[in-house]
Amino acid sequence: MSMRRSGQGNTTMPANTMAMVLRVCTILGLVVVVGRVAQLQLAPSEDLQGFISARTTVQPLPAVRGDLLDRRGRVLATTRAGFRVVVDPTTVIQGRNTSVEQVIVALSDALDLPADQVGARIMGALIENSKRAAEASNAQGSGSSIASLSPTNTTATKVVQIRYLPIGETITQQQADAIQSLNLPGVSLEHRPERVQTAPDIAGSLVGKVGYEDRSTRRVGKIGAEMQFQSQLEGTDGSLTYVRDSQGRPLWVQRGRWIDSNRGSDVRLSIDLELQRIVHEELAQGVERADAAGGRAIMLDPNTGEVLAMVDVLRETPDAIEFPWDDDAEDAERTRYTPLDPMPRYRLVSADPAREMEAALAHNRCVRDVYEPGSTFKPFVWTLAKSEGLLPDDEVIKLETNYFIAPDKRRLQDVTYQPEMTWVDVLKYSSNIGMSIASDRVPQDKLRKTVDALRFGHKTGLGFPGESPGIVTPESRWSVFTQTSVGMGYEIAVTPVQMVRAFSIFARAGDNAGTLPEVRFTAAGRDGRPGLTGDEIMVERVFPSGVVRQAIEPMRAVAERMDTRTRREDPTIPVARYSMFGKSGTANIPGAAPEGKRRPQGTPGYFKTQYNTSFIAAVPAQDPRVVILVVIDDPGPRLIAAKRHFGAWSAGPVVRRVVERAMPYLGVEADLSPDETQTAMSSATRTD
Amino acid sequence: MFIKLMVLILVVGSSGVGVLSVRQSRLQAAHETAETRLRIRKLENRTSELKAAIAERATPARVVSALEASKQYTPAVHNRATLSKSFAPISEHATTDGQTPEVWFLDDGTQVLILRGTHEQGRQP
Repeated sequence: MSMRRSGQGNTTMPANTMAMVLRVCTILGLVVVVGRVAQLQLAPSEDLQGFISARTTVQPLPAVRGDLLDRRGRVLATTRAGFRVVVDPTTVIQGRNTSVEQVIVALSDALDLPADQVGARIMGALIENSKRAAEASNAQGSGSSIASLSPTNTTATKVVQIRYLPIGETITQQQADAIQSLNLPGVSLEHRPERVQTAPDIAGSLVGKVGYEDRSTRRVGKIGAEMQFQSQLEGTDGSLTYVRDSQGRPLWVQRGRWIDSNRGSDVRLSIDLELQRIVHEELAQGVERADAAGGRAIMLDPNTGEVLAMVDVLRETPDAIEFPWDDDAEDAERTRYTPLDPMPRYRLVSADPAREMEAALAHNRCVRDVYEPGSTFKPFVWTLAKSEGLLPDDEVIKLETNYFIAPDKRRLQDVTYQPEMTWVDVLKYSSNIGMSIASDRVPQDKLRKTVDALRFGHKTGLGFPGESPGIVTPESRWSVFTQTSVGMGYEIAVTPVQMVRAFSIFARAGDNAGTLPEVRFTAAGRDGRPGLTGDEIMVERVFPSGVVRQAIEPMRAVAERMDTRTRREDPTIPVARYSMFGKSGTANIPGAAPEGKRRPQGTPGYFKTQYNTSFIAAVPAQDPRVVILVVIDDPGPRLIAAKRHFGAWSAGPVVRRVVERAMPYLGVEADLSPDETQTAMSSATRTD
Repeated sequence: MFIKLMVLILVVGSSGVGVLSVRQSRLQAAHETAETRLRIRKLENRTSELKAAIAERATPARVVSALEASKQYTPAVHNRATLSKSFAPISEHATTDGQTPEVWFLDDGTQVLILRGTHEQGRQP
């Protein structure tokens, strides 16, 4: 027994050792396995890393862009979900159960496109791929085969093949679902949101356009409000990461790997779509009636500074000829201008090819193109002189003739000769002679500083890309001649938006009269900025409110005269039911060369028979709700021959028509009864 | 020993099955969440299509032209309208609170009654 025990003892020792070794090996093996698993999970090798990452797909979830709304919440621009069919020709030919012909027929049915059109596109790409593969094979000294079209073929991978082939236009979600259910090989859907404008014909240039950012798939505002409010409109993109199988089919979405996109904020503009429509209709008709080359109109709320409507119309004038500008190039030949008699109608309003292509791309002339305001500028100089105490109420200007030699030795003449005028009459009859005297009394630096305080020569801050600051003669070149010219609205170039903002100082309520509003393109009080009710709005006083009110009465007479004369001539103009005060202006178009051109020698400073005419008004006269400016660019020769081109004749009736349609829409009670209108007409007729 | 072994196998096996079923449930839930989100996105896409279509058809110009085409449209405020001097009450149109309608006439003799604030009060004129 003991021997056996001893023998057993001798034989059990190696067994225990072996068991121990086995245990240790097993544990070591398990540690190695666990370690390897951990290494594969946590720090895989580069080769494996590529393989692992290829098993997941990151699909971007693009954010939906916010809507652009008008001040009443009507949609101006919104985003419509859209898709585009994209074909990978190299995958199409690999379809096991579906032939290329079947894919073509199925796609043409689903997209409602002719089969030959879809076929030509796909087959064309296949042939091109085949050609490229053959060229690559020939280059390597081997023949081409159809197998080389496979993306997995090593020869073909060196060839750049067409693998992205968009088919047809943008399709809807329903169409996309139908195509997806067909499960066609090599056919995929690309998310392609479409920006839709609801009224491109009347508000296209204000809303603007969205386009792809350079070298990316990000869509950004390229022009107009889309560009201006890009940061608010764009949302935050999301992403979806899913694990897929060897066939590329989605297996599952890992926890926390679906990051939803955040929609962009809506932006409520100050524009009112109905007012925009009214202004657009009336301006287009006014331009047509005046046989003009174009027209611009702006409606502004003087109390909040909101732009309610902004319209810019261009019209073809077949009778106009090109002015012989010289090229601006340094080596270009300088020519000499030979005046023609009679002076022809030159094409002075630049064409806008982008506008013809798409309304959204239009060059917005209301903020980008300047004009000389002419007599519409007189109220500012008149009010300045009045506020300085330079125009006594009891002073009477007596003129024996309708000619006057201004301080700068210029000979001036009035359109309406008045032998005797008070200062109120000077503004009422828009006397150039009177304004020359008034501006001569104002110190030069005072007038220049007032022009600056009215923010002429500065951008309005409306935020439109390409806005012009206007042109104001610098202090160093401000002369007696400038002083007289500016008094009559010449030698200063303004944009319509600058002009309508400056005129608001006459229309603002209460103590705000004489202050300049902060002009804005978003609805007041709707974007966290409470408009004029907030303390953060800074207003700059230009004139005392009391003096500003003195200018209203003569300007009211101007509007009444305009109404009377135009209705006498054209009874279709609506009977005035809303009082207004305003001022007309007529200025010759300056001989300034367009961009890229130069004036030939001897070019006149102004085109003698071509004008910018305008009328600016505030309505209703007692408590203005809106300020409207209408500029008619280059009215036709027939009107000029009949002396009906002046602002009161060409632009004034457009303002009146707009007022009579816009005020009821804004819920403003008519403040003129037919009797009052009749009385006003009779008195105006007598003064005529 | 055998019983112990069987119990151990059963415990380990059922734990494994439990863990796997929890994992499967989680995957199922994730899958359904993903499908729901996809459905939501599709509905949002459809909504955006409808919204754009409504917005395009509901501009002031389109509304006016549609109403004019229906030949049942008389603008309450019109360029040709003149305010009647007489605000004669018209009993059949008088409102319950005794508000007198404002009477306007168009050149063609069309009579237009205007009741102030009817929208706020939820009544039809």
